[in-house]
Amino acid sequence: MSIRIGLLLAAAGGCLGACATLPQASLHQQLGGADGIARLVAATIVEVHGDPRISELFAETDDAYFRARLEEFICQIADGDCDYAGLPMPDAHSGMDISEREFNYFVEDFERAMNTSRLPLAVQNRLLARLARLRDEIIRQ
Amino acid sequence: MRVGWAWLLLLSSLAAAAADGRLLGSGGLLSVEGSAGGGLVPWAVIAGHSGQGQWDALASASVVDSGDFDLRTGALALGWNNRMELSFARMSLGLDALVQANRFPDKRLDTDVIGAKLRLGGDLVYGRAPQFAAGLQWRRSRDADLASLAGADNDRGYDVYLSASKLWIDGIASRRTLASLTLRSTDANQLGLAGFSDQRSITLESSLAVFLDPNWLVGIEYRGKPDRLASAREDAWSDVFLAWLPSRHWHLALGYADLGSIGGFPGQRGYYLSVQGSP
Repeated sequence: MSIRIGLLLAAAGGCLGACATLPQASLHQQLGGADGIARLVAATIVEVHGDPRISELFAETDDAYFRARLEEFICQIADGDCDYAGLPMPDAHSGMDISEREFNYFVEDFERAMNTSRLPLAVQNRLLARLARLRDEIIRQ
Repeated sequence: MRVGWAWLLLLSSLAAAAADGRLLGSGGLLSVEGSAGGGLVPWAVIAGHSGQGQWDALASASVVDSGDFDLRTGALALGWNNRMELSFARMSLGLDALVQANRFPDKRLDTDVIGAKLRLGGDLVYGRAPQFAAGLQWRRSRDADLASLAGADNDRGYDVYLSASKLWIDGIASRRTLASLTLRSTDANQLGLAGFSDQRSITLESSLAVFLDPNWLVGIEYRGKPDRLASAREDAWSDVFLAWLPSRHWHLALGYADLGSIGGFPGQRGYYLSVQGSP
C-alpha cells in the first residue's frame, strides 16, 4: 500500500510541478501550415458570429482585418514564420470588458472550429494551452 | 435513493439558466460524500459549471458494492459563481457480511453529510497557480446506537480540508490532465459510517485524471483514512475510474474501488457506479 501511495503522490506532485511535454514537430506544421490556419480562422469566425452568447462582441468587427490578424497571431504563437501586425492583446481588447464567462464561450467556439478543421486532439490541446496563457491579457480590458 | 431525483426539480428552479460559464468537466463529479471531486476524494473545484453570476444544481446517486458490503449515496449540490459549493449527501452502508455472521442487526448504517466549500483562489485551468479551496463537512450518524456498537465515541463530527487542483490543457500525451491533493482533518471512522472519535487525524488524498477526449475521463484516486477503532481495522481507500461526460447535464462514472478492511472483513473490493444529473 505504501508503494502505491508513493507512486500516486509522486505522479500528482510531479505533475503539479510541471507537466512537461516531449519535443515534437512544430505546432505550425501540425496545424497544417498557412492553409490549415486559414481554415481554422475561417471556421472560428463562423462559430463566433453564430454563438448568441458572444456574437455581439464581434458585431462591429471588420472580419477581413480580424481574419488576417488572427491568422498571423496563431501562426506566430505556433512558432511559424510570421509577424503579428496587430495591437498587443490588452490593447486589442481594450474597452470590450470581456468576462471570464465570455472568454470561455470563445474557447468553446474555438474548440468547435478546431473540430470542424479536423485537427487531432493533441494538436488542439497544444494550441489551446498556448492561447489560454493569454487570458489575463484579454479579459477585463 | 429516496433523496435525490425528486429534489432535482426543486433545485432546477433555483438554477434560473443552465450554468455554462466553465469548461465541460471542470466541476468534477459529486463524490460519495457529496463534495465535488472524484468519486472518493474532493477536489478544489466547485460543483457544476457555474461561471460569474451563475448557479448550478446537481444531483447524483452512486453505489460501491464489494459483495460483503455496499455503500449507496444520494447527493445534492449547489454551486455558485464558481466560488462556493453547498452539498448534502446521505450515505448508507449495507452490512450483509456482518448481518449473516449474526454480529449486527439487520439494518443499514446511514450517515448524513452537509458540506460547504469555498474557492480561495487560483484557477483550475488558467494561470500557473493551482485552484485552492477550503471545505467543511458536518457529519451525523442516523444510527447512533448501531455506530456505538462498533465502539465509536460520538455520533457526529466534522472534517476540515484544504485542496489544490490543477488541470493542464496540454498534459500527459497532450491530453487534459488533472492532479489534485487534499489535506484533511477528520474525526470520522469510515467516513462517519462507523461513528466518530474524540481524536482528530490528519489524512492526505490525491487524484490524477486524464481526459482521453473532452467527454471521457480516466483517473486514479487515493484517500488516506485514520485507523482508530479497536473493534475493526480501517484502511485507506483507492479506486480507478472511467467517467463519461456527454454534456454538462449528465455525467456517468464506472470504477473499481479498493476499500480495504471493513468491519473486520479484509480485502473489500468492488465496482463503483455513479450517475449525475444537472438541469
